[in-house]
Amino acid sequence: MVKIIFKRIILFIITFIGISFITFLVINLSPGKPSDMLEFSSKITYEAKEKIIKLYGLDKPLHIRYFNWFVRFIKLDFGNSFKDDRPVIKKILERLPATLLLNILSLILIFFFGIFFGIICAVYRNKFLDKIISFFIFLSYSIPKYWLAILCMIVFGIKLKILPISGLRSVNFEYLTFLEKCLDIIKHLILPVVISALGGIAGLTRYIRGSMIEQLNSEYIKFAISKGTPKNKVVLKHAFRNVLIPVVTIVGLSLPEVIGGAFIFETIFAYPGMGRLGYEAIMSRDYPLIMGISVITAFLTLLGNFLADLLYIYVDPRVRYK
Amino acid sequence: MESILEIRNLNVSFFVKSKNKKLFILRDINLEIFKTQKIAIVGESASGKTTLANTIMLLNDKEYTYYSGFVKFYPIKNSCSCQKKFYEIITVNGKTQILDEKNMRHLRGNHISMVFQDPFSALNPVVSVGKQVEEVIKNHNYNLSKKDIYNKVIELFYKVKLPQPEHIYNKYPHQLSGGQIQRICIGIALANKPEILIADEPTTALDASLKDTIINLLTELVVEENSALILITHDINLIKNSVDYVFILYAGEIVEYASAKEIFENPKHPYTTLLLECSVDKTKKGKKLTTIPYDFPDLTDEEVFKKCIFFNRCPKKIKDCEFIKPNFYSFGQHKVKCILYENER
Amino acid sequence: MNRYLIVGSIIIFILLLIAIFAKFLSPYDPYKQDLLNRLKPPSIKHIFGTDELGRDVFSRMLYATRVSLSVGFIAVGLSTIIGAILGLISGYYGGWVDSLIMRLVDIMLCFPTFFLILLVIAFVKPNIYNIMLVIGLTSWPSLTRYVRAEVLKIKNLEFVLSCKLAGFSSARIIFIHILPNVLVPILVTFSLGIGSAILTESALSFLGLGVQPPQPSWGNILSSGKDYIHIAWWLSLFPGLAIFITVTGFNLLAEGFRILFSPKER
Repeated sequence: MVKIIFKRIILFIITFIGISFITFLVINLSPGKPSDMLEFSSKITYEAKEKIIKLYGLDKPLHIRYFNWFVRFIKLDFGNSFKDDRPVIKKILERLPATLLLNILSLILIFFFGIFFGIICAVYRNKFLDKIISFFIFLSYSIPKYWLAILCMIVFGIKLKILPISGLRSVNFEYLTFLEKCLDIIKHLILPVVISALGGIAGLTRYIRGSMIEQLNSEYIKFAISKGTPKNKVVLKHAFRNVLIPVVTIVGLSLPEVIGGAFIFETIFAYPGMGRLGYEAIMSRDYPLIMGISVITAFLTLLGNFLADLLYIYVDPRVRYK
Repeated sequence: MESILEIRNLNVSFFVKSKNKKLFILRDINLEIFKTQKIAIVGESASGKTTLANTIMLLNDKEYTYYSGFVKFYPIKNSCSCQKKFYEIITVNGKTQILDEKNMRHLRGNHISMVFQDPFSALNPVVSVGKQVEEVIKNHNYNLSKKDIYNKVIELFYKVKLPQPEHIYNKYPHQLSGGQIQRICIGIALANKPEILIADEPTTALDASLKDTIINLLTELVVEENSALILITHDINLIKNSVDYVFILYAGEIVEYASAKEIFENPKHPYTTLLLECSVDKTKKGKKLTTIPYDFPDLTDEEVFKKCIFFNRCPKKIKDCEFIKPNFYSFGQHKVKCILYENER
Repeated sequence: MNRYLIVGSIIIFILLLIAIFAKFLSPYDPYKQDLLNRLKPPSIKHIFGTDELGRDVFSRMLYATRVSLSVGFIAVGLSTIIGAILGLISGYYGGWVDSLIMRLVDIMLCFPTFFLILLVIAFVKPNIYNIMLVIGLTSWPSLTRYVRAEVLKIKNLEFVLSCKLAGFSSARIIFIHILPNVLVPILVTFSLGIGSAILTESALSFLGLGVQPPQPSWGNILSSGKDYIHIAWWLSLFPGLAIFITVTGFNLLAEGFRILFSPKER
């Protein structure tokens, strides 16, 4: 087991370096790279130009530039935002908790409903319940989620007026009691969380249904039944354990999807998270901020995958006792 | 002798969705097992052996399986809390009914248990083997303490001759050998001292060198626990000295049954004769091994049931075989379903 | 043939017809503004209503079909070629080539695809060609993984070994003997990929980073729908439905292929 963990750590480091390299390449080789931008951006003052040249070491050769970039990258120093000249890392850290809140809540939702629906579909395979759930799963694969978000805003926010359609807090937030504050935040979170979880729920349900059916047809399930084990135990204890182990990895792999979704949903719902910050940075061509956010995003995803891998090693006895 | 399992006129068919046809997998099976009797069911693959075992345990896919006939089980165990005289696993009263899940659960692993063909896939790969043995004890004994259950598991491991039981307890299936796992499966099957143990090809997936050991262990243990044994196999020589009674199954029909001694010394049905000749150790050196030409009847076609089921492969067929479905002809306890013996009785 | 395949093909066929004959089918010029008839709800004259510049939404949506389908086919064609070739090479050769490609895949998969696209769009001019290119260049890694896994499954089968023994060149073994065996996953991924590429394009256009107005795209019509969310529901409803139906068509096709080639299912 130690050997496998060691291997994972090595891979983690290699991938980490790869991320830094790709980001570096995107900045330096794409047609709109910062040095070009200096030419036609009139907003930027002379000092700012100097700063950028120093920051990116534009006067030095490529490999030294990469090395410098990598050192700064490790120190999380991405320079200052063009927009308000505040350190990028500070701006990101301000927004990170809200994004983590949104993503963790939707991951919880994905886990819970994906597993729940997946098991129901597998146990009642080809029955009415399975068909109806599978139908909705299929629909939610094809539906543009941001469109659904708009429809939900129209229905729940504008027509029914039961849910707020933007932000994380109401205008009068400061004047509310603690309980009302919580309720207010929850109300603001419902639509973004549910809609960003939808795709993940669909994917996980589908996955769990398939592998659960496969497990339920296997020989050891028959043997468990022949021992006189009750059906709920057969499903939950025997089959589900075998299904759950790869789910750890699946959820890890779905992280980019969830985080990527955050960019669009946070923008639609005017949610004060990192995704919206990134969108705004892109719209205003705030390069230091864009770079910072992309690195942090990729790093978080990588970290999520890494943790999922470790968890996988821990929960699967076939790997643990190899 | 006390009868414990009675199968009368059992028919089992599967609905094959892809072909949209019914497959008549078992037809008109009659079989009776007595207390502590050891029987063997011998037949080649696709003869319905496994289906027969699964039918007794009601393990066939509910949606696509159709039954008719009777399967009745008479419990004799004193230790059992239920005082039922018999369980009707499959009954026909106007309509075929199968035993409800609750009663069936009570039977499985408690009164009737089963050992499967492939030990590697029979155990849950992510649960320790000790826990998997515990489960069968817990399923049927609600009052035992944790310690008692653990001790019982260790005792079972000793019984099936596993080395270092305490050590094995926490192992996972992938860490053990096929022989060890099959011993654990036998332990699980015998944990609650069932009246009947069904062993479905218990040695097929194992190394040749292990075959006799496992069969000997099985027969030894069922004698010790006063269980009856239904040994299902395609290898007739494997069971030569281990069972009392042999049923020969061909394409879903029993074609001959007799005591083991009779079957080996005095086989009557042409199929049985051929099965015995096919074995390697009987063939003399330098002679070709006997094979039976493969032309298995199509069990979705009801026409083939109107003649002798072995008709198209039989080396001794006569003209009548194609038109007459033979009945069983008795020679004392030895019964054979072949028209050749019509006049010999 | 199964229901999925039939329904999916019919939807896609109709969409292709619309895309090809948009010019003849649309009642108005999609670019013609009519400031007197701004934001008019659906009526007999304008069956899907008009937008904030008085343009006919129905006509614009017909033209947008072209945008969506061409982005879908070209972008996914590109990513399929890249993904399949890398997957075949990675699976067939193994060793350091495999390690290198798989690390690249790992790294690519760490960037949320949608964000990666946003990132690139931040540096290049957003237009339909760049969108195709960017989607194509960023969405291949999952196919590479998939194809590689399939190749690993079959590369040690007897028929491949006998090809090697017969002295066939690697390229011949890969493309003539292995490729046909991984065609099904490629086909399924291709079909699913088009659906998701269309979703991505529309999302980008919706955010103002994709197809730029006045060129119509379902996404940028939706975008103005969001701006007028309180007064013009038709601007949100119809383009969304169009995307939904199109993506459903491609997903049905993918599902159909999957079932067609795996007889064990169902």
